[in-house]
Amino acid sequence: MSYASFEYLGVFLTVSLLVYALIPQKRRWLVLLSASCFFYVLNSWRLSVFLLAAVLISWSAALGIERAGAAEETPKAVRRRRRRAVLAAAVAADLAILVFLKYYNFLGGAGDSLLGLAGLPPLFPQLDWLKLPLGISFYTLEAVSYLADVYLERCPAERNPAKLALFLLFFPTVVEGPVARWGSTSETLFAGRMPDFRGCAFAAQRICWGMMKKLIIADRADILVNEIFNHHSQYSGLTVAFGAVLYTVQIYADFSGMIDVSLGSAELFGVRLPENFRQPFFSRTVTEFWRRWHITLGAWLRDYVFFPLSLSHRSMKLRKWGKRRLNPYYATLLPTARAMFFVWLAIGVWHGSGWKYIAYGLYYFVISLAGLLLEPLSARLCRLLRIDRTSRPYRAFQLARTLVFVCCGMMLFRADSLPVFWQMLRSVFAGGGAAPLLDGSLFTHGFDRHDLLATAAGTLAMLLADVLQERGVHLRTGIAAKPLPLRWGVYLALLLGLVIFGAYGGAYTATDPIYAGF
Amino acid sequence: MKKTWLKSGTRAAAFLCVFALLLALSSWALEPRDNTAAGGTARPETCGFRTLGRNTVDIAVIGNSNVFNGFSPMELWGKYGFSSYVSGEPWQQAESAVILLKQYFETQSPKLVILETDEVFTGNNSRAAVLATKAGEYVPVFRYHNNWKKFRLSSLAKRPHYSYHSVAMGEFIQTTAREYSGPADYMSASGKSEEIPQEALDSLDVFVQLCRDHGAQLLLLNVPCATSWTDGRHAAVQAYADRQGIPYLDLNLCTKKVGLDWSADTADGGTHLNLKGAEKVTDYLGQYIEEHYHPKDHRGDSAYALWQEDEQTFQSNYPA
Repeated sequence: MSYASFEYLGVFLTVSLLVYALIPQKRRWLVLLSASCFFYVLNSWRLSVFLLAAVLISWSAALGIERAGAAEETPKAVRRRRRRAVLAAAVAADLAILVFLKYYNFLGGAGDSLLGLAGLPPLFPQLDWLKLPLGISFYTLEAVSYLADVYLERCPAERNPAKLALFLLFFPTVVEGPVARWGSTSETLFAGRMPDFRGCAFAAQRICWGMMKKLIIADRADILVNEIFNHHSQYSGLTVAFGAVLYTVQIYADFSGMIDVSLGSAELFGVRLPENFRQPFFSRTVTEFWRRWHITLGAWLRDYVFFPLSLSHRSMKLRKWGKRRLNPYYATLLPTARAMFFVWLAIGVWHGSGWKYIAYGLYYFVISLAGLLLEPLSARLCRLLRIDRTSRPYRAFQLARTLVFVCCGMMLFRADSLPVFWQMLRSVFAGGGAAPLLDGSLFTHGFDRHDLLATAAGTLAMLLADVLQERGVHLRTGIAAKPLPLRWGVYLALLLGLVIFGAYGGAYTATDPIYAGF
Repeated sequence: MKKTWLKSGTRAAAFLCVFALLLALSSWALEPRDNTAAGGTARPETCGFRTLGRNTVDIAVIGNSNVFNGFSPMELWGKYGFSSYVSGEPWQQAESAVILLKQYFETQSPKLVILETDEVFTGNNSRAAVLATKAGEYVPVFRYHNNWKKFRLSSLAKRPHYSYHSVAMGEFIQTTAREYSGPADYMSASGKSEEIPQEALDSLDVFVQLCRDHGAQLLLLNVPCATSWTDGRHAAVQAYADRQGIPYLDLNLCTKKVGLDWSADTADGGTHLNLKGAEKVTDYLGQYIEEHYHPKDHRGDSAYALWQEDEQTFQSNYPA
């Protein structure tokens, strides 16, 4: 059941909300749990056992960590060692399920290739029956963060396994995130509060806005993106570049649109989830881009990979070593670069198994590292050329540069394989290739000029909203403060636009949310 | 508190009323004014029957691309004098067939309805898609929303008027041939069973009931299709036909009797038949219809002058 379907919005969400409103506040979280279980089983019932395992592991391990820490008769060092051992075992078990289901075939294949090079027979048979349970990449991160937070005493262990189960499989987050944290979500998740009328209206508006992004922009752009990427050898130059830009627009509209539906759905139940996007295309660097794009994943990796690695004993040693040999800037950079490598690698690997995803992560590692390494040089050059780095033109240059890097990264992300990406990239730099765009032959594959117009108008509306938000305007509050005719005009235009310009029905194929595949 | 909710509730109801009004208005604005492409009809050939004289179509043939490629109403007219029209849609959904049949009964009273059943497996019969189609039946803007691409302000003043006429009576003619190179025994027992999806079954039930309500006989049919039809699908449709007591004719089982030559009678390597293949299928089907349903031979009937003219045009365009 997709979030962008009548079954979800018209039936599942509506019925869940009605039942939620009718149940006493204290028991409302049980309605959310039942609805989430139903949603999960409906989408992935055969693989529910893995989710159940994650719940049981995390619940028992968190209690174990707490108990090990509370045994006052035991020496502090032993308690610490025990707590760490329980944490390590639980995190390893949670990750082992993910690694086995998501990466076994890829790692096994790579291992067999290495064995083959050494003249040894293959050891890892390919398991074609391996399937990914719904949301495993998201709920595993949530489970690990919960365990780490209990270990770091940021929050107490939850006694009730059903509550932990609700946190991990809460239906608005289980398909595409955001990656929620126990500490910031559990309070509203179990409070059973109903939003007031204004809150309900705001939630419905957010859902409609998300649907606009998905149905008018992403699902429509999907047709042309598929045409260009699936038949990339027939296109070159500008057309391929156009495909990369269009895919960037598509994935942003699709992912942020579905996150809007998730957050809006949660708001209907009075649950506050973390934001996952903050106008990413206003970033000056790719590092900033990743702080604004899929924020919860970036924040998770920052807190549970980057900080522990860059503050580790080994990093300190590396810094000291650097200080003896390098200037202070580069000495500080050394441990940062080491931690950054693992973070970017994790970002790549999290998105999927295959060399393409590893390359995707490392692509961003190389760019962000190069940015840091060249920073002193760039600052000096700007001083020499008297370029004001805070000026608007320079900022525009930075935005354009980031956009080029991001579009290039998206091309790698969408291409079928690394060689295909390389071929497409080369064809972009070979130039030309504008004919299919100009003579209209590109618009004969189920995506016509009217579709281009609708996609462009939707994208413009999405960018306009981003510009306003970047300037600090809270759109929903802003519109709510306008006179009724204007306010209703905006809402009705959005709804009617969705009905008329949405890519649904016989002429279009409904597409699954892109990030649900990860 | 109660007052606030009452006020808000009234406002929400008023908002929904305005939205409903806008939906009705946009439905009216975007509904096809004609059964032509410019008039907002996606595939004019599918509803060309709307232009024909009232109650002139004796045999209504409905299905997906298999049937509009593989059945020739003009061949049936020329050889047997039976008046038929083929209303096919690419990737037709079972629920769309129901809507099409309802449209037939608005102006026609076919004695025999033939349904090509490949669509119950290959059409988009997901619950969501069926719901969208049903919603489109009651709120047409959901069905015709894509007509914004052809929208002209001037068309708002026009009343619906159907002007499109298909000389081939809905048939899509392909004269090229591409050999089918797969196994000749594609219908041999594979042991793989298939089930008709529940949503398609529900639509089929409605389709059957509609025929019964209008006193039309129903024949389930499969035009030869070597690339998608299987013995498992045949068994599933046969079981349904037996349950409902409806005759079922699967021409995939008798391609030799039909005289089909997979090297010359298919346009695209075994999925769709070309004109030659359609003629052979229609000839075989004509004998079957004559034998089991005895429709009237209208040749020479002045009410069917258009059919005579169309046959001449058809024959001159596609000489045998």
